[in-house]
Amino acid sequence: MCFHSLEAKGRISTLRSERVLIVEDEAIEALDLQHRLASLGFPTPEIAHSGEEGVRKAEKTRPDLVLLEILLPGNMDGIMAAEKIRSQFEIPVIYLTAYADENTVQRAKMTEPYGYIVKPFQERELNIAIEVSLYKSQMQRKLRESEEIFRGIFESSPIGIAICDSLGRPVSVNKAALEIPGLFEMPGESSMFSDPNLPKEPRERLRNGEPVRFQIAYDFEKAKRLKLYDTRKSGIMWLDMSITPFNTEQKPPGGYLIQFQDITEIKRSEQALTESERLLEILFASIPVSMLVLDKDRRVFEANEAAAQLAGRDMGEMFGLQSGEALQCLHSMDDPRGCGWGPSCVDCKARLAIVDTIESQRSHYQVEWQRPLMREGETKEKTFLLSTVPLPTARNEILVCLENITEQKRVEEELRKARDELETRVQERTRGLKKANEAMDEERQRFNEVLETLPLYLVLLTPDYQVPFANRFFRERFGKSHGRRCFEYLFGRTEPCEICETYKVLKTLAPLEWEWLGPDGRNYYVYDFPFTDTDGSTLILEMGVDVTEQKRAEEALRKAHDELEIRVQERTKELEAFTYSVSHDLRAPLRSIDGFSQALLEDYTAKLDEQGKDYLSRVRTASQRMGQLIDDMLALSRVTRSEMRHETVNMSNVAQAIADELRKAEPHRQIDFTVAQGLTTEGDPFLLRQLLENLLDNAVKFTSKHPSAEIKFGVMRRGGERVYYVRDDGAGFDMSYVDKLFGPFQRLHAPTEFPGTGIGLATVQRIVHRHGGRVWAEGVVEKGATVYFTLGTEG
Amino acid sequence: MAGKVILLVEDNSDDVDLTLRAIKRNNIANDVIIARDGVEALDYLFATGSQQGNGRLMPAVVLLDLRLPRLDGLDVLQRMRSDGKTRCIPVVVLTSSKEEQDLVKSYSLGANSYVRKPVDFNQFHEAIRLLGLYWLLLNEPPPIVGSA
Repeated sequence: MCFHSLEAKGRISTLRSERVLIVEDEAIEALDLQHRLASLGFPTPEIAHSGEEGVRKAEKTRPDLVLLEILLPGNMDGIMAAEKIRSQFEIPVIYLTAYADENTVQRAKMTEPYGYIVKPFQERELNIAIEVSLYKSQMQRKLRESEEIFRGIFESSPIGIAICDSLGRPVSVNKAALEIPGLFEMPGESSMFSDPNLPKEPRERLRNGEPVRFQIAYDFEKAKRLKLYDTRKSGIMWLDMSITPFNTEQKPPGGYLIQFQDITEIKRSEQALTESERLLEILFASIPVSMLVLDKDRRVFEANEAAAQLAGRDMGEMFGLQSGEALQCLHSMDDPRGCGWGPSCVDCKARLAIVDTIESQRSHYQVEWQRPLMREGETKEKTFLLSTVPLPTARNEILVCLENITEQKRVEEELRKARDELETRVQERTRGLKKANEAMDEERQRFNEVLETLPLYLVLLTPDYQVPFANRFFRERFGKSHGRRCFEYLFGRTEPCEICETYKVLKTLAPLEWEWLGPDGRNYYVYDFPFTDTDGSTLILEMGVDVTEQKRAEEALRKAHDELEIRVQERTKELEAFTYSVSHDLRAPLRSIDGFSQALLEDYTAKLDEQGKDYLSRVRTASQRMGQLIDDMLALSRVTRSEMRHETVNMSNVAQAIADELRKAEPHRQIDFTVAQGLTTEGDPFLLRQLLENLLDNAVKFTSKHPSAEIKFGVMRRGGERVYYVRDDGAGFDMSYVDKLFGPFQRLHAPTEFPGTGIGLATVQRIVHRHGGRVWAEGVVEKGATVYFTLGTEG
Repeated sequence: MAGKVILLVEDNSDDVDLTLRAIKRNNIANDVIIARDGVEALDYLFATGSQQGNGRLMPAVVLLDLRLPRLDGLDVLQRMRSDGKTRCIPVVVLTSSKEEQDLVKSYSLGANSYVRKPVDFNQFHEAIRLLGLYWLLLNEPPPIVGSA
């Protein structure tokens, strides 16, 4: 049916942006509706033909408005679909229906439709219904948004907010209202009026409908005892609380709005501030540092006890005092114009510091200030350490602190003087030391030159084989070490030598001497000494003397000596052979001469005259004498050649035995032998006997011309030496011939006078020499002779 | 005393004559056999060489000089002492030498006596007398082992 369509023609509608969904089972009506809406300026609406389709399309396209036929075919009628669309998608719905029976209207109302249009309807009706619906929907959305904002503020406020009913029981609380008192949930039943923490006075006012605000020390323990609510807090919390009653036309009011804040921290810092203020006051009063607070005109605004003392005034007199007077500067006190007019005020550090601090309000000064003039009774100038600090007050005051550092300065001064003196002394000492150092350097240099020119090498070795010093001799022979270790650069090894004489010194710590065949093929005689360095570490000092030439000479000498030895041995053998042959061969002819001479004398005695017999006698005597000579000569050679034995020999016993034999041999003579007893020595018993035999025999022989003889064997000490002697009182000898006495075959008397071959004393001398001793003689003609001898090492 | 022979081993004819003279003048009647060197002495003692089959008498005493041509006295002594037939024959070393080594060697090889010939003939004469007296009269010689 399109009986409204003419009315719509020719109308100019404003273009609308709201999209509309039509839910209508009748296709013609749906199209008509679509047409009408388009003519009203809406975009062409979607059409759904059943309740289900309507819900689906509403979900999918999210229209701004749904026009919905109540009577729809299928399981879901219009009212059911509207219910879904409204509740699920919050889209306003306008019912369209031809029926308007009471029951349907009632059912439709339940779904809170925005409009209800009964068919047939005027375009105007439709338009109004749509406008109203859209407006209502928009208003509702705004309301919802504003509620949300309000709810957001309410919830997120750091202030605890609780809305209570007329009995004071909370109806609604925000998060902070739970968090501040540490609640787990809103306490539904307990009223604020049952909380003993709520003071009496506000209670009265609240009942009268007046708002209250107060601060309380909220005691959780009280609330807990009454089991008002469950809380995790305990103890006291300072709260700033405001309670506003509403609906105050009623008595009591309709409800209460409670707002509260935790101000414990604020309370605490307030308290702390108060305390520190008090502390500061005490400090200011009692500190031994003079403190003045000066205003911008440099007048005392406040002063402490110490400052009053410094100024020599009572505390009460301090206020308003000019700073110069407060500091007792006589410049400012004597001059009526005050501080800054004295002759030296230009340079007054105190004044400058104070003035600048006041003007700049920035600078902090700390200056030493010597109070310029002395008051009567003051014996010494006083020195102060003056500090200025601008104070953070509105009146541009400054704090001036004064500390009397006179004593401190005096001590400092003394210290400075002492230090200066010390400094001077140190400098003097340093000069002396420098001189000594120079002298030492010179000495060292000289010493170094000596080391460098030494014709032997000298090195220092460390325990880890480094060579910290080598003199020129060493460097020239073996090169420079260049930081290499000794075995590396001397022998080209990578490891230390297996056997090293030098480093034995480190173990024994005793000097060592040894011979070294150097890598240059030369022989060195090496001396190693343990050496302590100036830093206390152990080093080895090694010196080496090149003994190559010496070694060669020694070697040559040794060879020569060996050769000589061989030759001597050969000669000795020859000599022995010679001696042997002499002893044997020379004697035989002598025997023949003697024997046949005797035979002649015996067998031909009748045929020989006296002279012939005499001649033969002489032949015999001569041959016998020659035999004796040969024997003596052999004996002498035997003395030299025979092997020496070393035994203890009792010289006294030997001499006594010889003396006894001699006395027996010369029974007719008067001989007095004296033999010193107990003389023992070390030596060859055979040779020593031969020695004494010769001497005693001589003594007997050379006393033979005297009627009696005294012969003495004794010993004396001379120069720590034991000197034996044999003395007789016989023929003696002329001392001018003493040199000949000990030569072989040398005689001082004719054989006719005293028999003998001149071998005896020569033998004596050889025996003494073989024992390492000396022999000498003294004699006087016809007064006797003494032969002295020593036997080598005897003490 | 008869039947006892003396073996005189001596190369020097003067000494031989003087020795014989001394023997004679001391009335020693024993035969004296003279060997001029060591070889002759051994030939006599062991009937070898020129003395082969000589049917000799073993000497009652041997007067032995040390320095001899060909074979010297010490060798003779050694050979004598190493043979059973001559081991026990008394040997008197009669020599000019007074060398210690000669003395030591002689005694160690088994010499019974060592006499040095004095240069003085009177002394020599006396020495021979004493030797004869001792070795030919007083001393009892060892039994003769063999005379083959």
